[in-house]
Amino acid sequence: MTDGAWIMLTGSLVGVSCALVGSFLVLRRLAMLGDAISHSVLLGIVLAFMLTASRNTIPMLIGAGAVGVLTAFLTDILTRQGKLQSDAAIGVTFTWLFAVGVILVSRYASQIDLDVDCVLHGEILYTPFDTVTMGGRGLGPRAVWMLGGVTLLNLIVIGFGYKQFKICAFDPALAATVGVNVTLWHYVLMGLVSLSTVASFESVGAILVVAMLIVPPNTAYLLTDRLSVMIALACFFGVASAIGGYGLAYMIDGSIAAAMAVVSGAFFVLAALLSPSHGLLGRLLGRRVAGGASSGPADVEGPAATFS
Amino acid sequence: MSQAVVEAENLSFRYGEVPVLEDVSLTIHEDDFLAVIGPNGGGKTTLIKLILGLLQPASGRVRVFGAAPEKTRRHIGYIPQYAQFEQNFPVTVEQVALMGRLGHTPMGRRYRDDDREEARRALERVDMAHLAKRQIGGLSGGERQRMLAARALASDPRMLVMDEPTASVDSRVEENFYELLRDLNRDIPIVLVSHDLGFVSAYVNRVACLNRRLVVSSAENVQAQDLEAMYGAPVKMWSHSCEL
Repeated sequence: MTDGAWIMLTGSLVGVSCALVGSFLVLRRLAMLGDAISHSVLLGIVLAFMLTASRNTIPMLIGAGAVGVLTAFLTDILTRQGKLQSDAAIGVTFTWLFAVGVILVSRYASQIDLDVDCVLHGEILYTPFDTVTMGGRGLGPRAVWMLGGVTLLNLIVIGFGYKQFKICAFDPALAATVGVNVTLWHYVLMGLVSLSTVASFESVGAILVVAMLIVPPNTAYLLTDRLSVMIALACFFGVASAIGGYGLAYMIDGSIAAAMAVVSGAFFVLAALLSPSHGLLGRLLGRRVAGGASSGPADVEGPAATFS
Repeated sequence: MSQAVVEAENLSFRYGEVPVLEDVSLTIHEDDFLAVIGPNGGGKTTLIKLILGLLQPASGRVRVFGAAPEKTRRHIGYIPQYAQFEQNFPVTVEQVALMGRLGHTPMGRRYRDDDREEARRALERVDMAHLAKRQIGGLSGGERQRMLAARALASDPRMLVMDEPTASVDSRVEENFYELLRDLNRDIPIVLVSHDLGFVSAYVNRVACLNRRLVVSSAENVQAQDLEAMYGAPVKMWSHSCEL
């Protein structure tokens, strides 16, 4: 495979793994918690580096997963016990954890093979050169293996607990009354978000990974009334953003990760304008048709009409 | 004498330092249509949560179908006060009704044809089958409440528990909804929380007046002084049993 193909495959795996968990984040109105986790996992990555003195994938995933779940836990505690609004709790938690991570990187920079700029912005261009070898034989980029593994894990866990994730996102109070452990599924989701983020950060960076977590699921949300279709569409837009972004970056000779985020944003704008049910144009057109059909003042839906 | 399905003995509960329930004892029988009424903050929802096993009492004990409530929770069909879900959530009426089958479906397994059949039957029972494929955002308040009732019925419940189920619908829908409940009460006991007796008195057979402490009466024998003692203010009694 060419380097370009590896880069597109890496970006596509970022798109799919993030879309799978991002769909539930969006539906649970936890998009900003995804943002927070994408930053605070830096601390977990640094701690894993310091403890193992290597860039071994497994300790890194464990460290990031633990700090990601810690972020969700601290946010929850500050909201429930500290009486903070959830956005304030998120702001306090992730900036603090992220700052501790930055201090550790700057203080122990000589022992840590990690660049903060790379963590924040990603370097997908270099992913084809960091390969996995077995018996002297190259097996492809490490990022592809790591992202492939996390994507597979996301697919298995979400496939296994699809009904539980769905009911927890739809109505947590109901989920509790039918015996679903809402807290457990919340932290499972947060763990998956953390793993997806840390697997993606080398490619698209901690900031732009948020675009892949949030934007494709929101684009899909505008286009369907079925959760399973929404998740499939979110994965499609994640892959399309990765491939389209690579093409855009190639044309303008710019940052690949940023171009992927820009393309995902463009898909969102198109969906927001053109979606048959939720699109701005559709609604404007519908209003005009309704206005044209009505000779009197605008129809007001009264209680009798509402509760038919 | 019909069999007891819920036995609550000397229940007390407090949120922090604030006592919510004090020495509450209540027995619900299998043919009951019980209204739990009382002022806001009187402990009605807390009592429901104790019956569902979502809260643990500070003292006293609850048995539901002869077992601890957290073990029997899936046998109770619960209809919440308000539809707390996002109206644009990508889900259809049929899929919401199917959620009632969750307690009957092992983890990792898809809903089977008989689960879909149960959900369809529940929707038919509340006259919502024609809207099965509709996204929930397009429903009226009454239709939403019926959908939630279908979800509760699809779980094949041995008891229905409702927390002010008609709080967000108009009086005509409310009347239809209670007619439906009266029909369901032929098979299973129903517990209904309401902030006033109003409409409910024409349908229920027992009334539990709750303001931290509990007084239970048959529906015909609710006395104005009981209600005055509970609300701490004069109460007017209105009869809703109109003969047409």
